[in-house]
Amino acid sequence: MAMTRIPQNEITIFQYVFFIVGAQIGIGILSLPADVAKGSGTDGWIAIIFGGVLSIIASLIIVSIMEQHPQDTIFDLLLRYFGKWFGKLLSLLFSLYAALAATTVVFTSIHLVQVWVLPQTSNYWIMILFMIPGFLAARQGVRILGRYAEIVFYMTLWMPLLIAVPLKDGHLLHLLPVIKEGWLPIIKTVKQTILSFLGFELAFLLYPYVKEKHLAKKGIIIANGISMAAFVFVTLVGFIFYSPDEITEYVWPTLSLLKTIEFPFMERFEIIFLAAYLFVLSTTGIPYIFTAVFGIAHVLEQSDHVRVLVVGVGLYIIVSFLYTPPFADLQAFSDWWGKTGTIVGYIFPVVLWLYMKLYQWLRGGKPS
Amino acid sequence: MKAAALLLCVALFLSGCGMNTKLDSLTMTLTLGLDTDGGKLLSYSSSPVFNKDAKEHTEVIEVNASSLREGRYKIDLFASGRAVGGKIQNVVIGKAFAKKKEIPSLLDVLYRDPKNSTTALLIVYDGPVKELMESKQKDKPRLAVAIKDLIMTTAVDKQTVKANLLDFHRTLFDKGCTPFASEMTRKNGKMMANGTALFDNKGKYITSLSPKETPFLQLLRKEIKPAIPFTLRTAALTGKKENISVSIEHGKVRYETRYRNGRFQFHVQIDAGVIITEKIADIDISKKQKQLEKMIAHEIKTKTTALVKTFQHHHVDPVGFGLYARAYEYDHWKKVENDWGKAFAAADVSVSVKAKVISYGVIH
Repeated sequence: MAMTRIPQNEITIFQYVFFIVGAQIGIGILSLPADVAKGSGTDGWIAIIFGGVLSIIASLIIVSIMEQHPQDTIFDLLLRYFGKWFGKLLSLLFSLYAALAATTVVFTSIHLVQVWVLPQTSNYWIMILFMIPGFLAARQGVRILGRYAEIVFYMTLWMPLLIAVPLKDGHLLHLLPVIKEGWLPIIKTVKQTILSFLGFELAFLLYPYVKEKHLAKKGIIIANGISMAAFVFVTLVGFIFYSPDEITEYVWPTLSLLKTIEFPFMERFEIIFLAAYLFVLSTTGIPYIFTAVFGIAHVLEQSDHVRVLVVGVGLYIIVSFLYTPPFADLQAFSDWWGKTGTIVGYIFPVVLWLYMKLYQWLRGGKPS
Repeated sequence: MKAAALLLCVALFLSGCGMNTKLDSLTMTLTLGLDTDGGKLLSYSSSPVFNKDAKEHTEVIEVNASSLREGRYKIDLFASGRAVGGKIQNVVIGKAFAKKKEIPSLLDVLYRDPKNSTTALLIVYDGPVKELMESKQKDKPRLAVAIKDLIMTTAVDKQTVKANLLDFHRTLFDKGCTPFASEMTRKNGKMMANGTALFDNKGKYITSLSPKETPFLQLLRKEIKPAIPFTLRTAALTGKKENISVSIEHGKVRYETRYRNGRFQFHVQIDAGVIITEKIADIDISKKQKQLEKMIAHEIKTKTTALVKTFQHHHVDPVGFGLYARAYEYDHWKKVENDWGKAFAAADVSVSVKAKVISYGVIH
């Protein structure tokens, strides 16, 4: 693996944190306030906190698994524990999952750009414009992606301030009473928040590259915490501004919030915001593209993932010529990502952890 | 290789130039009018003309259509440029029309298409909209600008409200309150702001508040900044028909919510800090401050109580008492949330006011 050898690609703990935050904050946050409001009204923010706790637990399990073999990515680990063929099958499934996530993010981003900013531009043009920087970034290894995630994080720190502007016209009363219908609807809504928190499972790939491995657990807790804070913040702003009856009327309440901002010299401020937000979306899409391509290259025993990447990018562009996903399809994509993400991010780590314990116990306590 | 890639990138950006839009080839609707004429929906568009050969700088088009979007296609037939709605500043709705029809379904396109601006003001016009749209006032700027300026500045003085399409949408969908909009009319050939139009929870026009009542609606809605001015008669203090002008500079409005004997009870506690802005009456303020404060408090109480009675009579709740009901009596609220107007009409609302004079101005 010429491009992806570990010493050249070591990332700092900050890059690791921002890599995961970048992967978590993406398309989910745009619709999250409406999604949780459908399930549990203005108590939805509590569900997000529960979702965050769940994702922290799952992340910690992932890091504990990876700690056993600090030099292995998940793809090496699967081969080590499941043998060549079954291990490769699992690796392929993991890569396909990442590809599904990447596809969802890419096509949803294109849809957003078309609906809000460039209604006349065909989706293949936007796809090509997305894929050029996407290719240039994903061609490099984990380190470049980590640096990119870090710089994008700093570049977008102004966004929460802007989202908070509509608060001045809001009513805190909308949040009361807290826990209005009991705990059951809140627990049921936790499911809706899972899609937003997905991204931490990329720690499966990242862990071996982290320089300060003893901080990996702390780092992933902080990453999930930052994302959770962002989600809760946006959701609370949405709830305070929109009434609980109205927020479900919007597909992307977070963007609609920005439509209310008006300067004497400029209207439709959300266009500028969305253009800047494309950076945030890119830190979700590109890592998933990289993961998918890296995994497939690993399965095919390629020394370098660039060739697979060229094929992947080419496929995206060709598909975008032939197929413009309608909104219903995008929702289906998101649903599927949510479902498979539940398996890959939450169930798979637990099963793998148990399996590894059993495996080691059968071998008399020695790690393989 | 690098140069070629760079060139390719630049070439890609050029693709946007193929579909450019020239400002002078657009008919930008700045004011959108809606009215009815014997069951027909009339849609008006007033747009600026960017052409030095044209004698008029505003183009007004009237069409009848079943919906706004259909209306726009028809407007396109008349307009010299391509009709676009992204810069709408005002949506003016005829009162006769608003009385007959629930307007939200008509406004749908303005919310659904993100190209449309939802910060346009919503205005109810008392009279035929045609007359406003075609009016030419020599001492005023373009119609759209003139209307917007009129409403925005009057709203600062609290004699009307500032409600844009988004505010209307928010208050409409919130089950705990009902929507409202600014109202305009024409007097002696001049347009004027004329208080507040109130809608029910379906978005149908119900009744209006006069410019004198509107400040107290704003007070109940806690919209006090920058100040709420009003004038009161001092007959009770001096025995003469004189008056004194005061302005509420700051204040606290607190709501207590309870549910007793099968209905909601609201207690509104208003603490107002007022300054005296004009004194026609011959009163020594420093000596009679206590009486004056009492009188001001009484005035605020009478006006707000009367206002609440009006709301209850018409089953509307522009203040948002329902928000308090939902926040503090959720279980009872849940039972009446779909017919809050009726439940609010049955509620007991009491108001108590404390006023404090904080300044007499710079002369005695």
